[in-house]
Amino acid sequence: MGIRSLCHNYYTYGEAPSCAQWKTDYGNCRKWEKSKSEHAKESLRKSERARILEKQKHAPVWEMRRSPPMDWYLPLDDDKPK
Amino acid sequence: MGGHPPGSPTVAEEEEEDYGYNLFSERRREGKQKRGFMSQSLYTVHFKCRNMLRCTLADTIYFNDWRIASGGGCGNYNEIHSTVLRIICNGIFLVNVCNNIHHPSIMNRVVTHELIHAFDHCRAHVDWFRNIKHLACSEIRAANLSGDCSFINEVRRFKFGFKQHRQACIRDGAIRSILAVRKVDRETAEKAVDEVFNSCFNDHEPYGRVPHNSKEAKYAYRDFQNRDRYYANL
Repeated sequence: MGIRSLCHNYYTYGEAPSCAQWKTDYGNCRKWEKSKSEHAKESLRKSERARILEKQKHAPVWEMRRSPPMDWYLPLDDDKPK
Repeated sequence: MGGHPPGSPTVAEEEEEDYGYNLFSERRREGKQKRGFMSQSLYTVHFKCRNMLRCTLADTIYFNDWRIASGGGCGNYNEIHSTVLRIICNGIFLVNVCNNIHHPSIMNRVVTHELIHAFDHCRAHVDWFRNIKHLACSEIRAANLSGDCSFINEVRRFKFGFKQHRQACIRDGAIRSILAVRKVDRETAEKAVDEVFNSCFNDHEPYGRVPHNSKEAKYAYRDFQNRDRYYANL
């Protein structure tokens, strides 16, 4: 598994992946499973929230919808007004 | 060759630059040809292609992909099954697909690519026809998430880069796709792709991380199924 992840990351980003955070999270997860430690739980939550925020740091190109389009199943029509 | 004004591309160069824009039948200048009986018969590429598409849609992985994509909200799997061909046709490329797809794995990749476009259409206000940056963004995501730019596929196309080559592949693939569906020049397409690249390359929805094989796609589906519990725990 390790070598494959190294290859994919190098192919995509040009550098080796940093797995330290994943390792810490795994340790916390096991600790939570064994002893239900609050500290482990909080660390895990903090790490996951940071990961989600990291993903959101680029502004989206388009405006998100609140609900899907009613005519999603119809062919797109370039003359239709938006 | 006579009759071309000086400085304009020769016929050979024009052909080289045609990324398939004119292959859409509505855009062809010549009249529609009548399809004879033989072209509809059992043993043609068209029939084989439709069968491959049915197999892809029946395959669990793509069922999962669609279930994830319908987290974007567009209906359930049963409703979609009969209209999926039309979804794929939504401005997008079935026309050339059946001429060139000879293997089910290629069909799988193409269907995933189109499902990413459908997912974007369902979750955001994508202006497919008037805003080239929206189109570029969707193409970048589709090239990234569908496996078009995996190392093996690039090697099959005789492109042997390794370090950070995936990004170059995605960039080129997105530019080619834009040129195939919009009549714009290469510089405009390149500029649009460069402007949105950072934002769209890192947007891995509906997957958490880019899936490199079907096992990782299964993990992504499992994450999707568990999403309520995940967000409740956070």
